Amino acid sequence: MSRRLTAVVLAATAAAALISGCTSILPGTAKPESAPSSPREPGPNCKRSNKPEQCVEWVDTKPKQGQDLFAQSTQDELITAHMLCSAVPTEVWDKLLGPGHYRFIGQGPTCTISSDDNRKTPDGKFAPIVEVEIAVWAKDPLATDLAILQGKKELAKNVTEFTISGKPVMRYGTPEDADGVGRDKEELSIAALGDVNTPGVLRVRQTLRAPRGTSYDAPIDRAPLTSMRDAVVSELLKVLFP
Amino acid sequence: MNHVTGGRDFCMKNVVRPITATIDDCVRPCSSTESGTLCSAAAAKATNRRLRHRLTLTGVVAVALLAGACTADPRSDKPGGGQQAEQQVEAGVPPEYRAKALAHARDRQIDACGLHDPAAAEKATGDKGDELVPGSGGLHECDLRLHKGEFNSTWRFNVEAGALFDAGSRKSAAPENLGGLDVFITEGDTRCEIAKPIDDDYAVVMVANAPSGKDKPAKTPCQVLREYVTALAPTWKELPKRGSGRTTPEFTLTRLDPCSAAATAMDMFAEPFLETSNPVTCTARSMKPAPPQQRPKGAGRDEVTVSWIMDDDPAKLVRAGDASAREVTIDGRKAVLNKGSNGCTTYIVWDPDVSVVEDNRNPEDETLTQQIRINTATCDNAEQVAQKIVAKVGGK
Repeated sequence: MSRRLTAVVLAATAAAALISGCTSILPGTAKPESAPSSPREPGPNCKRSNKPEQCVEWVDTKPKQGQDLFAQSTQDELITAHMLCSAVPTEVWDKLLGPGHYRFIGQGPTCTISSDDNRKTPDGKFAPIVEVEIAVWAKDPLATDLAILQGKKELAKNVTEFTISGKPVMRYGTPEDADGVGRDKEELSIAALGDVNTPGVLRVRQTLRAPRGTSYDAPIDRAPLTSMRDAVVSELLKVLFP
Repeated sequence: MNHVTGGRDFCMKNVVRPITATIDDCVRPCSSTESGTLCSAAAAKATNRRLRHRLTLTGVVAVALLAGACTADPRSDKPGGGQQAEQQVEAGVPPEYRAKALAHARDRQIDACGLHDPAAAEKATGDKGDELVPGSGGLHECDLRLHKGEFNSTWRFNVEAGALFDAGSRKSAAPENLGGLDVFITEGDTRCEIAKPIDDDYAVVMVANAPSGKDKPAKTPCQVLREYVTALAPTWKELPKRGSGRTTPEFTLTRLDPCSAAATAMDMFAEPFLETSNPVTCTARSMKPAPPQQRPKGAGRDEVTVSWIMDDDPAKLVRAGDASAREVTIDGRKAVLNKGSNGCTTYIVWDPDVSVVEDNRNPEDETLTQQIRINTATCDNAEQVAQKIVAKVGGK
């Protein structure tokens, strides 16, 4: 694979990979700092994560803003993740995700906020689950992502551009991400400082998963995902990049 | 399919019996049972050693006694639970894979077919038991098939002992309690999956596959499986172990560690290590494998994978005019090397005297035997690899 193509592929998956913390692009890892001699018992929120052994319990941390937040992310990504998790208050997440939501730091520099996966609908069935993952990327501007993705026809068709709260936003999504089956996603990269050419990107991924106990090919109603998109990004921008 | 001609409703064809047994031997019910229990294993053991087995569950009384025996067994159900288990991990397994190897060693001792109860499945489905045989994935799996009559298969229940079922799996599945057993359920249109965790990462997983065809069953797959697992709950609380007598014949190959076999191939690689992928499969490979594009055409991955499986006669792969498969004898055991489009597979018959009849896949009886399956990159050195493995674990 050529370097050029490698770069394109990396960029195409950057939003997903970065906020999931599963990429080697970012240096360092958000390892817990407990004593290495005995396995750490996961906290209550980490027990509900996909990888409890790699998870860190969220600690409420006053967030830095703007360039200071990006600078912080290059120094200590775990603290940055705590800040991202702390940006929006509980009562706002209550409105967006419903009561019982919980926050944790998954592997890497990513804050994850999940709706209550034990919540049930009035007919007693498990409700669909919405997860919001938040990360920041300080080194490149949004223009870099756009140039790489739009330079390839097969990737460009998955890109849409719009603005939220006056900030340029790039959405990258394949048809499968929005087909209303099994698991749908919204992957957003925001030029948080207002200019696509200025380094510093806020990345937000919203995932809607089928209710617990249903198969991967079950139909889902993605309307909540679309309707909460602007609200989530606006709330984050209001606090982190006013 | 011609062997069962009557008898009790719960009788299945996969009954332990001597090769000279009559149909009456097959259908002879055990005393006072409603459990899907078939003929006594003890009676079969008393006969000629050279048996042509059909797999069976032994009597309910025996099961009760065995359950007691299981309780007294010192083996822990938790990973790393015991010095004995710790010693079972091959030295070639690196620290990051030791916990997995320990869990797989523990789960290899679960009697997968003993996790079934044909009578309970019959009750849940309303159909008749057809066959109970180890699954195609290896000796840690077991399939129970039901039917409404000859050539009219209906439900299939596949159980896997030691399936990966981690925090992410638990988060996606729905928690439920069936018969006092904490399980996780995932429901689909034509299948249902129920997992009973063994520890934080592994579970006994049973899948019910609904009959295909125009006749839609009266119950959904999860309705059937909930009923079935509820009936199985007492058995699953103390997972049955191999050699306990709950099923016969015993598959003695599972007493061995596949990593012990794979370890004999470590000297083929630079910076070699071993890794298990399920309770009956272990792979030897290099920490620095060659890139796929450097492989010769037709070669598989540069590694050696050893699995304990149940399969029909590998000699069927050998055909006149086709050089892709050849039969050899390795330390007195029948073996077949089969060159495929992506590497080489060697099958070594472990014990031809213990077999299970599977008659659902072929109008003629298919006799399955325990076999060592070895996957190598090419067939060039496959026979030497097989010889070293048999020399290590053969014990003849």
